[in-house]
Amino acid sequence: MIPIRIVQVPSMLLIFLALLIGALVSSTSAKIPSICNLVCKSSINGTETFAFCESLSELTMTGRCCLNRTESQTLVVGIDLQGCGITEETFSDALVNMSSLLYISLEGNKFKGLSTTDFHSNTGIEFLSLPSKFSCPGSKGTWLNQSSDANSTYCFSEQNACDVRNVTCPSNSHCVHSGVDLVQCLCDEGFHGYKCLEQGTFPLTSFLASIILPTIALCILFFVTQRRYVIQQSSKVD
Amino acid sequence: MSSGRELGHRISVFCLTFFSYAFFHANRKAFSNVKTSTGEVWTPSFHNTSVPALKPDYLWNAHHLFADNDAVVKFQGVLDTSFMVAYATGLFLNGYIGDRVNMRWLLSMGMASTSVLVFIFGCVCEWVSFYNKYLYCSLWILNGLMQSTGWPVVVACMGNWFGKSSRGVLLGIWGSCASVGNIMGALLVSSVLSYGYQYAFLVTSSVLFCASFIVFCGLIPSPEEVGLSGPDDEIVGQAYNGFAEGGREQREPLLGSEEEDIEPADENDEAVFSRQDNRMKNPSASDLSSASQEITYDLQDVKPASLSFWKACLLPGVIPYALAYAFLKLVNYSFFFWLPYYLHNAFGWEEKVADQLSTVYDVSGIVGGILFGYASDRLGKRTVMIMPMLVLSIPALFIYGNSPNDKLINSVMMAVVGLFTGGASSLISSAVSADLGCQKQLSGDSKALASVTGIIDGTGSFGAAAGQIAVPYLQTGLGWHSVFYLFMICMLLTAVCVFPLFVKEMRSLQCRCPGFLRRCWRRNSSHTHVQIIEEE
Repeated sequence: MIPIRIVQVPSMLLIFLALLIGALVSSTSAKIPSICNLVCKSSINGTETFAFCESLSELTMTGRCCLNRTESQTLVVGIDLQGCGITEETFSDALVNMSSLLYISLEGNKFKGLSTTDFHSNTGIEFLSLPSKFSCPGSKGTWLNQSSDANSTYCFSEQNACDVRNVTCPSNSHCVHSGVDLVQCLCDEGFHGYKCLEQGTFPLTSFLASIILPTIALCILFFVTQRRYVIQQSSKVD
Repeated sequence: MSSGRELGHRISVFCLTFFSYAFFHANRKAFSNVKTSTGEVWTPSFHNTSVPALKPDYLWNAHHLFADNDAVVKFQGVLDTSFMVAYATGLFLNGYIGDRVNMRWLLSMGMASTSVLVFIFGCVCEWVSFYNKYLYCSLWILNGLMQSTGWPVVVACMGNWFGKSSRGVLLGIWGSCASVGNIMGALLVSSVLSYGYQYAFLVTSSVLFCASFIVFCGLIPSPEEVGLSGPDDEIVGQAYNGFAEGGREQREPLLGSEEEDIEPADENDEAVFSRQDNRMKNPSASDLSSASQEITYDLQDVKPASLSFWKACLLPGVIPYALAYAFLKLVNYSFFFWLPYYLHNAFGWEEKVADQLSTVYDVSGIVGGILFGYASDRLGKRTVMIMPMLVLSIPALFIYGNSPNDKLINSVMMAVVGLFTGGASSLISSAVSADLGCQKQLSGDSKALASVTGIIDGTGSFGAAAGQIAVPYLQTGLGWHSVFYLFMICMLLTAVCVFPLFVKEMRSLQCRCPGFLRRCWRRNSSHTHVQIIEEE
């Protein structure tokens, strides 16, 4: 029994350490999305995204992506996928967890069409370039400026869709810009529940106390003044 | 046997029955006051081709019990109607049961189970997010059955404690319990509705639940339980002796006016027979004949036997008044339900204003009940008092139906209509029911009180249910005027139903005037009589 126990302890420790290291490694690598490591036909150098990334010292270019690394998180603020041969599905899947993109370039891909939802919750896109056959996603007023040349369509400065569409939300809720030409109605401060119908928290304990105590008091009062006089069957004959 | 203690018992019975019925009504009011909120919760948000769907879905489009608000309104109508039908059926059942079991148990059980059902309907279903039409319907039908324990029992308790001489005015005042309950319900709901509609149900149902304990600890359903004699016992005693000595002729002058439709001798025989029956049964359960068993036997002997359901139906005056109340409650309930909407729809007044104005009908109904109740007490006749009210209500309804678009004129006319229809309704449902339930026909047997109350209010509630269905159809198909003509026809039919009794009472007023005066005096002083005898 004893040798087995001696062997067991280090081996379990080892397994634990291995798991820990593995988790650390995978978490650091997960911080950079795999789409950033694509090998594409066109060079990243000289692109709009590259220029933007170089212009600010806190940003770094990694593969196709421009990253803003802080101690707590790594944000992708720019992505250039020119000539990477991806589909809009691949693109949309990659963007699921990105919400702070400022620069996006998508020329030279096998895109058939793009919808506003493909950009997910990116609300501050400054520069978007698309293959020239596409027009800018969204509706009239979604972008501050649009232009196009032989190879590309350019969309500048995504606008707040709440203002553009002049959205009025139901009572107790307010409009929130949640993506390219997308809005949500979220509950106002203090409101919650389905359709934001509920406000505040019901004071359950004080309610129960304020109803149970008088009930007990009244029960006793009524028993003493009323039911006490009820003549029991055994005492009626006396 | 101090009369002070008796007064205390009476006050407590008055308050306990008053508030127990008021809390029942508060629970009903809670449902109608949260209809808008439940409608919101049961549906997704409105959207169509021009109005885009609201996002996120979990917040705006998660609940799909009904597609839109129209479907919700229809379903709520179904709930209201099924509640009413269940309530009407339950009144018959619970009246019958109420005469056979301890009314304190029945009432507190009914209150507690109503509160549990309302709690499940409003709170549990919301907290677990389980929305199902069939569950809601079945809960509401059960709720109707349980709520119907209330009225027969509370009227029977009041009838047991308060004699015929003061019944009209006291039950008139007491009859305001429904309106008081509505007001309490509305206040409770509005004070917690912002936390969510489920808390409106939580508050009203837990108040009812607590009240059921208080009723259980405090209610004394009849004076006999504390060794006091009933308020009309003296008269009954005399009547019974009279019958024993010389038959009907002697008994006659002391009787109420509602009698004769069936042979009273049979009634008495029946009662005596069933009493003997009881006596036969009880010792058989206790052949050991120990001291305590003997006592049980004796008490059982004192306890009056209950009347069968059909016998209770056939008591003189019950069927005419039950039918009359069906037509009357149709009108009265339709007013409660539709008046705010009518004012809003026909005159274009703001909903809040319409709501406030419609309370005039409520209040004048209570006032009418008290005034005419008092008058009928003094007169010693109820039908003589009710008949003119019914007849006068017809022109009043006609004028109100053609009322100009003026808030003052409209509310004055509304008050007049309420005085007659609401007042007559209050009189019939409480004072007349109690009179019929303990009429001398029963020879001291007051055990038909709950049954008779249940029969009259039950028939009335079926009428109310019919009105709930008919009024919206008439209104959308033929307009508001047709609704008012329906009301006038119903009032006429009410009058027709009680006309035979009216003729009989009038005859007894005219033909035996000196006797009537004497009898009137006797009846009014009977109350003090009882106390004097007791103190001796």
